[in-house]
Amino acid sequence: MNLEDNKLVNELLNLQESLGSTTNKLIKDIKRQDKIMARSDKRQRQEYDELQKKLEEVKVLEKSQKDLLDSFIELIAGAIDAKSKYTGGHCNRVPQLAVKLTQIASDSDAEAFKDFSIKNDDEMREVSIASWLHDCGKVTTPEYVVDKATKLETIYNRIHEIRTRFEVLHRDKTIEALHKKLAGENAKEVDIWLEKEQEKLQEDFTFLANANIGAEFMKKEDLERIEEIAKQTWVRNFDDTLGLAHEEKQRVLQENSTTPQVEKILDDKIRHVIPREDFDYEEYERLGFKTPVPEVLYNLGELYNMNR
Amino acid sequence: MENFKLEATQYTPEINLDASGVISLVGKSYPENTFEFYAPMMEWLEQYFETAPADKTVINMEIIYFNSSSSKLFFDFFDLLEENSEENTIEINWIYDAENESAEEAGEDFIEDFEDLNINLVEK
Repeated sequence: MNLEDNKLVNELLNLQESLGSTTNKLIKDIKRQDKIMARSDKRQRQEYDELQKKLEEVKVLEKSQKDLLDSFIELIAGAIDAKSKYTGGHCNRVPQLAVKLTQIASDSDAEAFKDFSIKNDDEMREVSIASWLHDCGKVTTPEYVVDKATKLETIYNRIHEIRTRFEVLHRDKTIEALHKKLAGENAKEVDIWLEKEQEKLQEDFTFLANANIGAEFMKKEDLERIEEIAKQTWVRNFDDTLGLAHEEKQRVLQENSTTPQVEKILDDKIRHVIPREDFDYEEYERLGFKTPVPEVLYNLGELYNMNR
Repeated sequence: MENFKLEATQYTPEINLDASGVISLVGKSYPENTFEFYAPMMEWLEQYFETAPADKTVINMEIIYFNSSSSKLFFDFFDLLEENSEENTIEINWIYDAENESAEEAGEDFIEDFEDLNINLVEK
């Protein structure tokens, strides 16, 4: 082998070596790329699965959020209905009718509805929510304004009524004094008697009026004095069943309403007791409530309330 | 040699190249153009090993999420470290969260591929 051949062989050997290392590098690189791709695929799959799972969770959350919102809306509507029994589940019935009417209007070919259509469930839901809430403003309107059974009904401090009774008694005493004088009694003595009687009425009324304000605990002697004052009577000559709304009238009709009627200054009457109706005691017990249920729903008795 | 520092962004990690021999990459890595983004870091490292490497170089990598091209770049990065590992003492800490399976697996791949490098898997 000559020198030239030797050089060529060396070059070939060098080339072979460099080719080998490049090939090795390429193989290594390809292996790496495969590894990267495999890892990437695996992660992509995990991320996609994760995404699907999250999507399902979001759907469930969305549904429960909708349900929660619906429950609150129904709660508000239910509360409004519960406040006014005269409207008989109005807030509950309106949405049912509204949705049905809207659907019919949407489906209708009539000229009047040619531009009206409900395009999807979301739009129908808007109609439903709006109709559920159509009366929600009533929540902030006082009951005695929004739900009056009669024109003169309002939240009322009955001290005015009791004062009027004292006014009646005051005049009765004046009349009684005049009768005494007509009957020939000593005018001066009668005047002294009248002044004393009317002074007592003033004192009694002032005492009751103060007790009406007091939120403090009442002393035993005060309670006894109220009982004493309550016993005084006046005579009613007018029919007290007139001008009443149905429910109150039903309660008053259970009393003796004939006139003239002797009435007490303060009294507890049948009309003052609002019975507890439609209360499901079994359900109450089943739900585990332990607090005893008061026998009546409300007691508006004059003496009953003054005496606490 | 000057230190090199890059703040983290939504797509890129915080990078700290300290000439005293501590190098750290912390955060996520899925830049729009990976190789362009890491080019200054690679240049800095080449120069560091050429001119003034510290007695010991410690590399802390805590990459919580990275795309495929970042993965490729890390291979190149480890190639560069391997080339310099004969003349330098280099220690690499691949730090990952216990729940981050892909980060752990990537660390295992690097160990398998770079037998001559001292790579520690450090679970947080």
